[in-house]
Amino acid sequence: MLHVRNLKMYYEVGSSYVRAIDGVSFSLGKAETLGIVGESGCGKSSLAATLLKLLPSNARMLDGEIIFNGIDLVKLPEERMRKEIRWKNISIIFQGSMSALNPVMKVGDQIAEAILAHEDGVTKREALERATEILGLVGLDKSVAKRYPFELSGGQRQRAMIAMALVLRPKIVIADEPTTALDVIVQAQVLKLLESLREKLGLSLILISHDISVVSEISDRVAVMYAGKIVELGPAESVLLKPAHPYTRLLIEAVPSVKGARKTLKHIPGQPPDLSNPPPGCRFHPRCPYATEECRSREPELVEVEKGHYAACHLAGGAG
Amino acid sequence: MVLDGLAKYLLRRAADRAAVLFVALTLQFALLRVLPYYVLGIDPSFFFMNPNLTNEQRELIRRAFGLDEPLHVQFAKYVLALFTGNLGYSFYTRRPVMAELAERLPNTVILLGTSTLLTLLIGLTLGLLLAMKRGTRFDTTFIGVSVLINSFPTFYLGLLLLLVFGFYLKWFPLAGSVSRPPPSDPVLYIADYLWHMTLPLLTLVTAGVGGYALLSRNIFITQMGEDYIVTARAKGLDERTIMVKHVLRNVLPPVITIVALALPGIVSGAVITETVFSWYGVGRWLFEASTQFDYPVVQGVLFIEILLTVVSLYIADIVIAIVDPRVRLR
Amino acid sequence: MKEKLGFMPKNSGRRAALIALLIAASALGWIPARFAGAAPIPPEQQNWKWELYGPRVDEILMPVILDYDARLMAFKKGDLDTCFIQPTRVAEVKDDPNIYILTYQTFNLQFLGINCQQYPWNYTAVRKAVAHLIDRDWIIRNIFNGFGVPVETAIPPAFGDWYNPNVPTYPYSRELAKKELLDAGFTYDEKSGKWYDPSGRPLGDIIIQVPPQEQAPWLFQEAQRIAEEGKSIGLPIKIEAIEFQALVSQIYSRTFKSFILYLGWDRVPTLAYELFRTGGSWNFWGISDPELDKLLAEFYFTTNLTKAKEALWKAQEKVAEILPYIPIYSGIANVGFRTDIAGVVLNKPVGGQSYLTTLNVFHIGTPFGGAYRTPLGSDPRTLNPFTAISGDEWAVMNNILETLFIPNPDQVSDNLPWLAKSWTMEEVEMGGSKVTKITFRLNDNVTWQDGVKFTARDVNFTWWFIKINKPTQQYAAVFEKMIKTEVPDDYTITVYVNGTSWTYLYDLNVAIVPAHIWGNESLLKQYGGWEKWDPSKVPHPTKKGLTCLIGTGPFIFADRKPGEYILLRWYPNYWKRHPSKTISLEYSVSATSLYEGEPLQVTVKVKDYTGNPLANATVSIALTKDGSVVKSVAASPAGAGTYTASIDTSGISGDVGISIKASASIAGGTFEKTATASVSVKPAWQKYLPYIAVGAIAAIAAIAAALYAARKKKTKAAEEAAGGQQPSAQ
Repeated sequence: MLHVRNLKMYYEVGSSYVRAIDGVSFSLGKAETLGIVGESGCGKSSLAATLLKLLPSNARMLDGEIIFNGIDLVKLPEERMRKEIRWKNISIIFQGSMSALNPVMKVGDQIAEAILAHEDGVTKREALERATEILGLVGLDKSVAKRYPFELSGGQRQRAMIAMALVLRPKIVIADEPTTALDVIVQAQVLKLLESLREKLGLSLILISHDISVVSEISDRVAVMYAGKIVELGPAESVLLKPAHPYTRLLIEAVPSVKGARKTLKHIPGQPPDLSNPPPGCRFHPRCPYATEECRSREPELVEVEKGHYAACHLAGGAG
Repeated sequence: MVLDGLAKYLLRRAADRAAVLFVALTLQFALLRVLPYYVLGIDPSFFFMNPNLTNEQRELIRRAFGLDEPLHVQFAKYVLALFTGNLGYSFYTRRPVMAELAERLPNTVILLGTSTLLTLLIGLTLGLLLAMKRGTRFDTTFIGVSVLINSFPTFYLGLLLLLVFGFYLKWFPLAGSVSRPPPSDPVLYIADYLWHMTLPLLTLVTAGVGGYALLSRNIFITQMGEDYIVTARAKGLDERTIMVKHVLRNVLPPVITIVALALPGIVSGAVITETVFSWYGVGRWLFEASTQFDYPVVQGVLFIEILLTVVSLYIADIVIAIVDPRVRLR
Repeated sequence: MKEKLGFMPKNSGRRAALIALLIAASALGWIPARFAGAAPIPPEQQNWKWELYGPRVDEILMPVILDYDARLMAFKKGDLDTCFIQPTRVAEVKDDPNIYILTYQTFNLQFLGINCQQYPWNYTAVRKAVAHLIDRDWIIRNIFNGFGVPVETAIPPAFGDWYNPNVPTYPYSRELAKKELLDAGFTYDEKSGKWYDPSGRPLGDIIIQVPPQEQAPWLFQEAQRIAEEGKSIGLPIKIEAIEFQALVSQIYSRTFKSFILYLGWDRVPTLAYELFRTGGSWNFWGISDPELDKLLAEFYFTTNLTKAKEALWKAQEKVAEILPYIPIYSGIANVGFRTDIAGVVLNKPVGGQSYLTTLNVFHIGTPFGGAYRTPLGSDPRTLNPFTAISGDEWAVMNNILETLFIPNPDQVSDNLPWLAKSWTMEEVEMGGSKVTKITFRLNDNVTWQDGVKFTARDVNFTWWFIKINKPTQQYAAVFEKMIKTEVPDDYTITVYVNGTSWTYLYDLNVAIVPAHIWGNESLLKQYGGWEKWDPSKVPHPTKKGLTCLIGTGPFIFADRKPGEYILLRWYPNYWKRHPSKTISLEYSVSATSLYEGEPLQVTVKVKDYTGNPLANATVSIALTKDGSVVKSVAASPAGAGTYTASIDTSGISGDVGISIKASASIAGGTFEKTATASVSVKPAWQKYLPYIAVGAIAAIAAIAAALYAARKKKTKAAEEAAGGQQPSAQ
C-alpha cells in the first residue's frame, strides 16, 4: 500500500544542510504494523512529518518517492494533499501531551472538526454524534466529548487522540511516540488498544518509538533507523531475536531486564552524529565496537541477511 | 454547573480587584496627603507664594481643605467623597476638580481613544502579519524599523513632525485643537478639529505601534508553534481555518489583557504629546498639577485612572473567563 | 559696445576687475535674504512717539501654545506677531528678515540668597569672600549668551536715584577673597589646602542650593562655576541639587543654606523694607541690625520722597557691609516682533514693555484696525484678578482692567496719571497718631465696558473689598492700616491710612474693579463666591455678549476656548479712544450756487478707519441759514458706502450752509463725523434774468431802431418840405 523509495529530506540551516532523512526506503502492506525504532534525532519523527508533508519552511524534499495507492505523494500538490490524503487516508497520532490538542476546544468538537473538514453535507450534530461514537470505540465515556483536554488524564488524552485519528477511517495511521508520556500500565493499555483497532478496522499502522520494547510488542515488521538511514529492516521476530546490525544488538542489550540477575546497565557509548556533517563510510562506525577500515570508508547498503530481513552492515550476515 | 464555576471565579476576581483598589487608594492618600502635609510641611497655603500670609489666613485655608481633622476621619471622608463623584477642590483655582476634569476630558478621550484604537488595530494586525511572515525579509526589516521608531522619545517625534509638516511644509497647524477662532459651521468645525488632531494622532500611533506589533508578534509566534497547530494541519485544515479557529482563540487571553491595560490611558492622557501640540487635555493638566503641588487634582485624576484600570482588568477577567475554559474550570 | 559704455575703463585689466565686481554685486543681491543679515528695526517703530490714545488694533488674539519650540515655530511661520526669544535662540532668529528684536533690561535680579544664621555662612567674611569669587562677566557671557547686566549692589542701579552708587562692592578677585578671610582671622594651611575658621576648627562646607540640573541647567552651571572658583583658593564650596518646591519650602521655614534664584523687584524699591529689617517677611537671611532697622523705618515711614531716598542711601551702605545676599545680574530680555509691527512702547531706562503698548501697537500700513497676535505660554486657569497668580493670567487682564496711574515710559520711576488725573499725599494728625492722607481726583469721562459710568465709588469699593477679603495678591500693609475713606463727589476720593509711608500710594494702585459687578452679592454667591468664581466664565447680568470680567480698559473679553485661545476685542467707547480712529467722510455737491427750486445733489462716501466703505451708516444732510436749520434730509444708501440725497431748494434763498452728518455703529460703539459746505441759492426768478436781459436788450434795440427809423423819416419829410419851395436851380 505504501512504498517509500530512497526518500531524502534535508533541513536547510544557515548555509548547511541537516540530512535528517538520507535515502530511506521501505514498504508497508495492508493491515500491517511497521515499527520504526531509533534514538532521538535519528530522523524517525521527521519521517512521520515527511510522509504527511507537514514540514517547516526550511525543509527540502530532495529526492525519492512516497507511493501511496499508486500516487506519488512527493509530487502531489498541497491542495490535494490536504483534501485527499491528510487524515482521510493517512492520519497521525502524536504524543498525547497537553498541547497536542487545542486547549480551548472541547474534545468532541475537535474530532467533529476533522469530519466537517473532509466530508460535505454533514451537519454539526451528525459530526458530533460520530465523534462521540468513536470515543466509545477507544474505550472512553461519551461525556468525554464535552470535556476539555486539560480535564482528562494522560491516558484519556492519548485515547482521545487515537479516536480523532481514526474517525475518518484512514488506511494508514502513523503513531509517533504514542506511549512516551505515559506510565507502563497505561502504555500497555494503549498498545493493546492500537493493536485491536488495527485489527478491527483493518488499517495499517506505523509505530514510531525510541523504546524498542514498545515497538516489539505489536509490530509485524521492524525498521531500525540510525542517523537518517534505515540500518536494519525485517520481520519483528527476526530483527529482535537475531539482530544483524551492531546498533540493533546494542539497542536490545541496553534495555534493562526485570527478570534475571542484576547486572550493570549497558549503554551505547558516544553520541549520534551531527547530521549536517555525518561521518564518512558507515555512519555508526565511530561508536561501533566492530568497526573496520572498510566501515570507515565505504557506506554499507541494505543487504538481505535472511528472508525479508535486511541489514546495512559490512559485517552482517554471519557476524555476531 | 459550568455557570456556577464561572460565578465563583468571577466573584473571587472581583474581590481581588477591589482589594487592589483599596490598597491603591490608601497608598495614594498616604503619598499625596499625609506625606506632603504631615511630613514635609507643604500645605495649600504654601503655594500661594506669599510670605505675607498670616498664620490665621493659613489656618483658614487649611480648614477649607479639611486638613484640620484627624487622619482617619480625613481618609474616610476622602474615600466617601471619591465614590460620590466629589473629587475635591483644586488648590490653585479652588474650583471642583470634577468640573475642571470635565472641561478637559473630551479632548483627551477623542485623541487618545482614536490613537489607542488605531494603535491596537494596526499594532496587533501587524504583529499577526509578521508572525505569519516570520523569517522573511519583510519580518526582519519591519522589526528593525519598529525598534528604531519605538526608541524615539515621544517629544522628539512630535517636534519633528511639527517642524516638518507644520513649519516647513505648512500642511498642518502648529498648536491647539481648533483654529483660532474656530469655524462656526459644525461640519467645518469637525473638519478643522480633525485637521488639528492629525499630527498628535500620528505621533501617538507611530510611537505606540511598534511596541504592540512586537508584542503581538511574539504572542502569535508562540501560539503558532504549539503542537496542536501541527495536529490541526495534519487534520487537513486549511491555513485560514487554523488561524481563525485555533490560533486566534488561543491568543485572545493575552491580547485581551493588553487591550484592557491600554484602556485607562485613554482618560489619563499623554502629557508629552499634549504639551508639544498644545492639546488641552487631562495629561498635561495632571503634569501641571504635579509640579504645582495641586494635590486634589493629582489625587482626583489618579483615582479615576486607578478605578478605570481596575474596572478594565475586571472586564478583561470576565471576557477571558468566557473565552478560556481553563481559567474557570480549574 | 565699448563706445556706448562710456564709463568702462580703457585698460582691459581694470575692465575685467570691474566686470567681476559687478557680477559679484549682482550675485549678492541675488543671494536669498537669509544671508543678508538681521532685519533692522523698522523706522515706523524706531521713530515712534507713544500716544496716550488707542487702541489702534481691533483685536488681540492670544493663542495658547504650551511648548516653547512650537511657539517659536509659530512665530517664525507668521502665525504670531510677537514672541519672547530665549537667549539661546536669539542667533537663530536674528537672521530672519521678517523678524526684528527689541531688547530691554528687566527689573529681575538674580542673586545668591544666604541664610546668615547657618554656619559657615554666618561669617560675614565668608559671604564677602564668596562675593569676590563671582565672575559676573564670565557668567553672563557664557551661561546667558551675553544677555545680562552685572549687578553688584543690593539695590540695582536700575532704580535711578534710589540707588546709592557709593556703596562698597566686592569685585571678582581671588586675592581679595582670600584677603577677606585672612583679615577676619581665618587661617589657611598650605599643606592640606584647608581653611580654618577663627575658632580653629576646619571650615565647614559652604553649600549652594540650586534646582536640579534637568530643571534649570543654567543655575546649576553658575553654582558649578562658583564652586570651581572656591576650589581654586581652597574654599569648600559644595552644590546641593534640591527640587524647586522643596527649596521654596525650606526658604520659607528658614532652614535653607543658600540658593541662587531670581528676585522680582517692582519699579520702586519698597521691597527693601521687608528684605532687610528684623522680622521682615522677606528677610529670609535672618539678619538683624538695629541701626539698619532704624534707617529702613525712616525710608519706609515717610511721605517725603527725598527723605526716603536719603534714608535708603544710608541703608544701602549698611546692607553692603552686612551682605545678606550677593546680587549677580539683571536679565536682558529679547522680544521678537514681525517686521510689520510698530508702536511697541518700552519703558526707559529699564523695565520692559509699557502698558501703553496695548494702545499704540499697530500693523505698518494699517494705522487702525487688524489683530495683534501674542501667545500665552500656559492656559490661564482663572481670570479672577483677586486669585490669579501667573503672568499669563495678568497678561490677559492687563488689557481689560486699569489702575489709577501707570509708569511713565520716558522715565519709569515717574508716574503718569491714568484713571486718576491728579493726587496729593500729606501727613495729618488723627486721634493722636500720624496718618497719611491721600486724595485722588479722577477723570470724569470714563465708562465701564457695559456702559455704566466709572466713579470714585468703584475705587472705594475695590479698596474695601481688598481690606475685608484679604486676597493674597493685593493685600498689603496699606489695607491693614486703612482707617477710612471719603467720597465727597463722584470723582474725588480721600483715604486715610494709619502711619506715614510713601509706599501706601503705590500699594493703593491696584486694578480697579466695577462695584456694580463685584458688589453684587447674589451674583457672586451663585457662582461660588469671590474666590471660586471666574468672572470671565459668567455672562454679564444685563448686557448680552459681555462677561462679568469687565473693566475700564481698551479691550473687552470677547471669546475664549479653554486651552486654545483668548480673544479680546477693542472697546469702542474707551475713554481714551484715539480721536483719529473714527469714520471718514467725503462729499461732493452738485453745485455751489443754484436757483431756488432746483434740487441740490449731495453725494457722501462714508468709510471706516481702515478705509473700508461703511454700508450701514446713517447720513443726514441739513441746510442751515443764519445758524438755524431750514431743511433736513436723510441721505439714502446707494450701496458700497455711498449715500445720495437730493434736496429740494424751494423756499430757500441766499447763502445757505450745508451740514453733513454721518454716524455709524462699529463694534458696538457709535462714531460720528460731520462736514460743512455752503451753497448760495438765488431767487427763482433770477433764473429768467438772461431771458429778461435778452428781452430787455431786444426791446431796447427795437425801440432804438424804431426811434431811429422814426427820426429818419422825420428828417426826410423835413427835407422834402424844404426842397418844394425852391425851384430847382437849374
